[in-house]
Amino acid sequence: MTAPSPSLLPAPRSALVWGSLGARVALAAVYLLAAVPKLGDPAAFAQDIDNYHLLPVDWAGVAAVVLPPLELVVAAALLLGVHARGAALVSAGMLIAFAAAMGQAIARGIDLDCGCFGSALAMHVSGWSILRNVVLAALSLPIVLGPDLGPEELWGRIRPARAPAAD
Amino acid sequence: MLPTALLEALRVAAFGLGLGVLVWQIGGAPMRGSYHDESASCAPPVAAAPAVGWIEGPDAAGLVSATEVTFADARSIDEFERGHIAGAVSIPMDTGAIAPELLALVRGAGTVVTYCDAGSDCAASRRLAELLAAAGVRDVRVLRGGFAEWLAAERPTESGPCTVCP
Repeated sequence: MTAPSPSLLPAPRSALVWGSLGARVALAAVYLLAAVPKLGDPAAFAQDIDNYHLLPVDWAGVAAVVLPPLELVVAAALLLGVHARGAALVSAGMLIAFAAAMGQAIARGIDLDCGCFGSALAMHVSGWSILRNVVLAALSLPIVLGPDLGPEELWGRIRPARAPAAD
Repeated sequence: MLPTALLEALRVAAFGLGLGVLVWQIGGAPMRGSYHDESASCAPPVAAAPAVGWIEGPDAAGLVSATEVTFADARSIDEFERGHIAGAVSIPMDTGAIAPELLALVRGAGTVVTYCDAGSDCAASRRLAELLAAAGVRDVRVLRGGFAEWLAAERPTESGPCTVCP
């Protein structure tokens, strides 16, 4: 491995590295927290989706089983650093789409739980939940713009780098 | 840099959605009956408050001019001002709680009919009914079909701000 140790990096690059890493870990944690309760109770999640009155009734059930694996894949990609940039873009897309769904629900006067973290964490949809999604979507920026840290570089930063082999 | 990121995004999305579809094909999706129960409206509107009942649109229409009956609109103030049941007061459920000064409006009413917009599944009107019952209002009903059905049946409405609200 050829990466210099973080302390030798010029400050802006170092900030981007740590910003990108922090954002990846934070987003991955959010997606893990979000996906696990939904996997455990797809019917409750389907109910939450149905309450948005956005999808046809039968699609709500399909969305309830298809979305959690997508969230898990995004979390895994962010954590492992495999296609982390792509995962950040997918994440931003999902968060904006969910925010739009909340916005239309508020605009139509539908009063509902957001279902964002399954039924484990009941939260009323409001301007705050939309703001939260926008902030989470903005976390993609340092990941997409920051240095592309592959898995070996990420794990090398956390574990002490192996001693270089004798030439 | 960005095109590669887009390509990666496509791969991540395809992999995630593919896995999702695989889960769907193997495990199946929840049946619509388990989350979208068309007959649910026969169940009491508020499980926690059995005294709260439904009221049907035609029955409620006959009560619009009755002085001992108050209609309480659970939607946002904006929606209320755009149009509401004639004589209704606005008790928005935006925050999930009743403002104390609004509670005084309905305390004296013999019967309070709550409503909002999204048909029989409307959570805000049921939430409002539950809060009113807990606050000691004796006769609370939830309007079945909400404001959407009320409009469709061309029952009396008016628009503008709530004149009696503080």
